[in-house]
Amino acid sequence: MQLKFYRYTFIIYSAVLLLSLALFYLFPKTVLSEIELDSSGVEDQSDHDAPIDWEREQLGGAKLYHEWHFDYAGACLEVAPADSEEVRVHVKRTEAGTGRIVAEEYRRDSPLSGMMNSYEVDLTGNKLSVKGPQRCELNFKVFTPEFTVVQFREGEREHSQRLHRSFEFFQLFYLYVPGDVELDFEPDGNGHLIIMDEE
Amino acid sequence: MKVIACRELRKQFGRTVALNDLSFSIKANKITGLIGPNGAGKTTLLKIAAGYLRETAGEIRVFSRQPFNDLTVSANTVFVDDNMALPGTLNIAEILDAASLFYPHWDHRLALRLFEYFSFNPRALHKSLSKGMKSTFNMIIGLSAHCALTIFDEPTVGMDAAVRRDFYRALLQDYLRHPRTMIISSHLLSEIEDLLEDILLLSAGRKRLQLPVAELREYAVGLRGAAGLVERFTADKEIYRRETFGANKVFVVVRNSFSGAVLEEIRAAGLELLPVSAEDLCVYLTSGERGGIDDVFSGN
Amino acid sequence: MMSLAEISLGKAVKQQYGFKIRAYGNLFVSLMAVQLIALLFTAGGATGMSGMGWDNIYIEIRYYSGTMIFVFTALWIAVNSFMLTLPLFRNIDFSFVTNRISSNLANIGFMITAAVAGGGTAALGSILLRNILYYLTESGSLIGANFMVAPGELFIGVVVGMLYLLLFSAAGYFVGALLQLHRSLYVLVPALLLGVLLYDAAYESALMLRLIGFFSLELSPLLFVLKIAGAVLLLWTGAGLISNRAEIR
Repeated sequence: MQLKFYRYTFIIYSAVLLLSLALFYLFPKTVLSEIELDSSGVEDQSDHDAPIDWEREQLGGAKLYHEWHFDYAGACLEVAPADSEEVRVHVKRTEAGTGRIVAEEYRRDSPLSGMMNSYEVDLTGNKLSVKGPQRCELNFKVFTPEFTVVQFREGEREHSQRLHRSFEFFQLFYLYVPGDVELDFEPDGNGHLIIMDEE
Repeated sequence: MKVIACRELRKQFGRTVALNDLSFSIKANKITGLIGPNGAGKTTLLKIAAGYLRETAGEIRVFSRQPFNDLTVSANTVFVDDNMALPGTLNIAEILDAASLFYPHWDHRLALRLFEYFSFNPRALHKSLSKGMKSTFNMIIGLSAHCALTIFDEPTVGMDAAVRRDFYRALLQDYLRHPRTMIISSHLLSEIEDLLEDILLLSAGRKRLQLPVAELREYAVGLRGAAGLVERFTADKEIYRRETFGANKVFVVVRNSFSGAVLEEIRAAGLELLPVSAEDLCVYLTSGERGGIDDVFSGN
Repeated sequence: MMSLAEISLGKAVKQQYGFKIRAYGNLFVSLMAVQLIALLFTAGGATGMSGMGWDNIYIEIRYYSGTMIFVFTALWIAVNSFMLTLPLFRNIDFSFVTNRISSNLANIGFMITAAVAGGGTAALGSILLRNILYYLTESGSLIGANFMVAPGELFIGVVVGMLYLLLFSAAGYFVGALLQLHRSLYVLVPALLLGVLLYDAAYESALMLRLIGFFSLELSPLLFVLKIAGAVLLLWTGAGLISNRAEIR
């Protein structure tokens, strides 16, 4: 009786585990694919260089998510962060005299990109208000690998570090302004205007 | 053939000497009683024979082999006492099944019939059995194992009188069907005397006597009467026991080696000649020449 | 005269092993209990959590891993291997047919079985954990890396797990055998361990870490197997030599 109890309990447990094994492998799982872990972003030690690198390899890593086009005839453009949230605006000068202002929102091509809120851009008069995306909160469940599984894998221990880095700089705002338009920027203490190299 | 042979066997635990200069042998297919008071070294001797303990000096052979760490000795020896360690995770029916797989000559039919006779609940756990039931259960293992050397160390601890009788009966019956060497230890002889063929008497770790029971019964004789007379006849003899009672009257136990003529003389002198039972003799031999517990109260 | 039964060492070990598997079957139920507890802990509260915030986003990451299940299993096997050396269990062996060698060999067989069962169930338990998280909690935010385990990786995990468990069990068994030598070792051995830890802390040496690293940092499968096998054989032999002269009861 005793013996049977032990035996059957363990058999049932093993059966449950095997069923779960079958469940795991036989039915496809929809999970978020690995967050972008491309090596250029990872091995770059300086965060602040990232956007520049990124831009250089724009076609590789980032995707254009939103585009705003404005016709603008004024000589001076005031860029104004619209709320208290910090906004970074990367400005790129384009050919003078086109009269077109283009704003672009890039996101790193990752499963996260679809979950984030967008920038809000509005042009009234000579004032371009840029409102940073609504703050969104994301919860993720991440599996760290069992150390038995990765015994023979090199460098596995830095995985979570890589994961953290992969979340960084995934949403950027670019503003293309013709070269002849003067820029006025009132930071309010909250914004950064980063002028990119002119080509 | 000798099943156990000891030569100058000695066992020490730290500074305590449990067995000292012990030499004896036990022949095959006899029931031997190992008798002695508490602390005489009976259990130590049996555990050495079973290979549990290792001798400090001297030599012991069981089936002509050194028993410590010997598989053949283990397979042909069963050691039963009330401390027998059995798994608490199996019920007692499962323990019988498990035991049956170990012993080549195991008699499972016997085990089950005894099990039933003593009305064991097969689902009971060994640790939850009463002391007497535990002893009874261990005895079933000891008997059913049908080992060439079957050792019972104080087997009847906790058993009531009826179960004891049944046990000895069962032991004898099984022995007659399957003769083998059995050693039963006890501090009391009377209970097992009828069962035994031989007796090995231990006292303070030494052998005191080894005799067939029948000889033991004739071994000593008691003389009772006037002290002076008694002393005259026993002067050149080893005195096993001396009790004084009344004025100038003594009771003395000596080796029964008087010739017929001397016996006549003793009777003629008006002394009483009393037989000494095996049990009493064992008590006398192991308590020394002292007068027994009476001495404590007599003030000498 | 009853004929003397001859018995080979192999047969005695086999009998003892079979007996142990039956008599200590409860340990496999306790293995299940231990793993389920670890599973509950892990699935209920993540093993770790971190939050990150930027201008426009706050990310909370909860970490999960089957490692906890494995750690509990390792404790289970170390404790139970230790227990096998206790007088109570030794005495049970000697109630039946055995000598010290066959008793040790049967214990080794039992520990191998326990390591195989423990390693297998721990790895499968980590799969069960994944299923629980996937089906019983909101699965949309599960990141696939490491969640998905290729069958080949799972196999490596099972084998490596078993080897580690074997190591833990041999260590527990050796310490147990050592402690049976003398009562004072019950104090001395833990004191020695504590001493090493304090020494590590005081002199910033890392004897313990180096010992762990000796196994955990080994990237070559062949060397890993050899290291574990060597250590395990050493521990078993040591335990065997220590207990081979031990008296019973």
